[in-house]
Amino acid sequence: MNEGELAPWLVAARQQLAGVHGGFPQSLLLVGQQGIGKSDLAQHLASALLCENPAQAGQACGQCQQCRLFGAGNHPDFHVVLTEKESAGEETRLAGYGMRYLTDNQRKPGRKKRSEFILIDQIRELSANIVSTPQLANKTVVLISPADSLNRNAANSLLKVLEEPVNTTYFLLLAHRIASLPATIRSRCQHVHIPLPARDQSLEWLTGKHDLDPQEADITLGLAAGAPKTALEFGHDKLASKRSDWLKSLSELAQNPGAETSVASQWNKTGARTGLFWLYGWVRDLVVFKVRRGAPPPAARLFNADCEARLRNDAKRLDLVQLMTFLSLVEQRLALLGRSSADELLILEEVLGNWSNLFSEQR
Amino acid sequence: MSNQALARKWRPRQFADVVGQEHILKALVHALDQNRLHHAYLFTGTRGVGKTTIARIFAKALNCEQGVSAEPCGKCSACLSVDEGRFVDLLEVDAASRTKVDDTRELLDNVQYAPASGRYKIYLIDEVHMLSGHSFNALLKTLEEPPAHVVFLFATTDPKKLPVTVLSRCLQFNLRALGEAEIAGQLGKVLDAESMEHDQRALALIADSARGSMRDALSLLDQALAYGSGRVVEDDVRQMLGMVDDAYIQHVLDALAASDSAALMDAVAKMAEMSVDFEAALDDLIFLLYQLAMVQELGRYPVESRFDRDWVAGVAEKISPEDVQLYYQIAINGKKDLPYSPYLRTGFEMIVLRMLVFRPAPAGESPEPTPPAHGSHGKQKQRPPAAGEQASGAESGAASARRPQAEAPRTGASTGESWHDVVTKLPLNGLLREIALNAVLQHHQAGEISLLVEPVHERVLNAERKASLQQALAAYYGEAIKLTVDFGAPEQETPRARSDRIESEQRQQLVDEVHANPVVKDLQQRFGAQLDDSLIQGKKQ
Repeated sequence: MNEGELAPWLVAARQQLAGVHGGFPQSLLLVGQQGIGKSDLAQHLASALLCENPAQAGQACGQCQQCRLFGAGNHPDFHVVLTEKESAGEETRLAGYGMRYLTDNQRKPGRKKRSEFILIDQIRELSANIVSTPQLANKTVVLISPADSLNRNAANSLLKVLEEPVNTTYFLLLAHRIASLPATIRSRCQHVHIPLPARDQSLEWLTGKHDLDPQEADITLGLAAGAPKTALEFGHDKLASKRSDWLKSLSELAQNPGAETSVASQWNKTGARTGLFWLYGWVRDLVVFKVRRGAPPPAARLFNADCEARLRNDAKRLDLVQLMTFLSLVEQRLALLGRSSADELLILEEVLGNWSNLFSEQR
Repeated sequence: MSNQALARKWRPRQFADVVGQEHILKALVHALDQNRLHHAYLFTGTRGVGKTTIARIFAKALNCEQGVSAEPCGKCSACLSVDEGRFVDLLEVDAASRTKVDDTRELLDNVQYAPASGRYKIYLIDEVHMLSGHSFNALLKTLEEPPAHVVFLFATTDPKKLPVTVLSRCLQFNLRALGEAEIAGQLGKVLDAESMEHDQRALALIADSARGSMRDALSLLDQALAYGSGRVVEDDVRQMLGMVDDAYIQHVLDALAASDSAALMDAVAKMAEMSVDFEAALDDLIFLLYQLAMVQELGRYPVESRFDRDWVAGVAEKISPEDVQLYYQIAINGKKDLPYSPYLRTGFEMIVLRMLVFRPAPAGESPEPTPPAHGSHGKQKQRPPAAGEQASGAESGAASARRPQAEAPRTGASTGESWHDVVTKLPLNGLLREIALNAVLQHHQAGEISLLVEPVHERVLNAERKASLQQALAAYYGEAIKLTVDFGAPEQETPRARSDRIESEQRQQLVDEVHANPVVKDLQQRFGAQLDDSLIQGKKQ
């Protein structure tokens, strides 16, 4: 892996870590908003740790056996623990590593409900594997991503190994949000906070590196709340048609009281979470318009900056207190989504029904 | 490039090195010196205060070749191997990953054998709160009366998870969270020993952020050393901790005092640019509001605080005490919701905007473009179906009160039966029955039935339910039925309203009867007894 692959704002974080006084910490916790590229950085750090002759700045050489094995997704001393959903989801290099810590049953393709937690059996197997000396490299690197999804048992079973790892073992934990980790885990790690990159930097990266249309980059970055990797995902995902469908369904809900069931099943097909995230951003923008009487300050950083006219118009029809109450509902339902056995379709129906009711006075 | 964490490197090896916890050390030292030992100890306390450390020193003290004493020599092979974590008779078990009862049984199988090299065989079971219920029960007998050569040491952050049967068999020592001065002192000692440059303010900041845990403090110190490449100075530490520069919180409060929503959003945007930890910012805001309330109540803030005294006094005059209370409440509620928020920045922004919006706005400077009347109306309409239901229930109740002897409901043309009787005989259940009960028969002629249903039920009466209602009616009348449904407020009494009315009439009759009862009357006259009408209940038939 070479420097070119790492996004500019991550390079800064990596350089800071490479120059760490007294050596690389054994338990490191990387914290940053989802979609900012934590796992890219973690893979860079891991490959540099495993590399036989890393460059001065703590960079992997990309030539040695370790680096080639790492790049091929086959390094035996790189231990990756992901949720079942991520390991068995999209086929990335990281997911391939993560498969190692799934049970035979979990590895089967086509399982209906994939766990969104890291479970205790995964950690038990990990602890058993990392007490032995590394097989090929002179270090063992463990990546746990995201540490937010360790369930209570798994988190507790990690404590002892995390506190006093073997001298050659390095832990990299990734977390979207530090508050969701138990204090016992937090207390055992050094924390590195990765800030959200400046808007211009993200835009440049999206348009320059990934050939996104400048206008599209602007929209996707807004929708992703400034997280460039999420924006890139939206950008690759035929955003324009998806978004116009989404906007259409919003107006349908506003006009038509019974539409929530059909719209909910439609959203459920295209991704319940994305739909609700966008709705969250939309309602937040409406609140801003409402509070500012239709003139949002530039500092407000709208999620949907491209739809100003429509937002202004919608804001006139809605009640501020109701909007704020609705926003907390969306917030709570988003937290529920995927975190429980709750049915996604039902959650969508509830939220959309409430959204449709906000317009009931005009009808 | 290995770097053993400071928390590991500086784990105390002697009781004398342990910071704080004197109350426990005293008991343990006396027990060791006078050889009055218990066979099971439980150490509890928050993360990073010394549970495992004290347990290990205790194990060393018991097995030191120089004899059992509170000051293990630290030089003999037993002491050294305990320090290096390879003493055969100290079995350190990670209860959190070995939770199953089989693991515990395996452990207990070896209890009966004498120690291999030491004086005592010591079972140090860490994170013991994670053991399964069966595991705890499997422990009980051995824990109560272990062989003389066995000592159990338990350590946990969460003693509430232990069953009382286990608690009652142990001597429990509760380690307290450490004070900031104790932590800062130890940090200074560590840095002096490592000969690193540092200043006292920086150490105080770290000690404050560690919230009573020495390990948190040492982890932070590691981080600070990395951040400042070997120096620990205040500015670096402040930045590293993502500490909210007090100025930002002051901007937020100034904007609130001026009801300036643009300035408020601006302040939040600036905080986001500095990648401030918004959860910490909310804590700071809560603290500041508390301080404002104190100033408003007492005229001054009783102790030193980091916010400028004059500025606080100025803001305290600009914001009314009621608003401060309201903001405080919104902030506290927001603290509960912030973890749910998909983006911390938006979550924080909404909390402060809520402070502006939910404030009862004085005329003239309403932050909300809509008139307050509209707002309150909106609140009422938040759950239209429920509100509608209540309203229509109240209306029909009032209507029935006006005409206590209701005219007989219009009967079905062909059978002469009332809709009420038909509904109760139909094999319906759940939602459909409820809809039917809230409907009125408009007409029934030659296989055609038309119903009037309250509009609140429009959503739930979908085509499928309508079809099954039609089917049920067809089966009941024994002929093909064509069902049409209209929505509107029924003028006649629905079966549901009818049964409600009958029930309330019966109840009223009962209440009257009780009031008229001579015994009751007698009691009222002689003893001043009072009847609580709400408690009168008819006997269930």
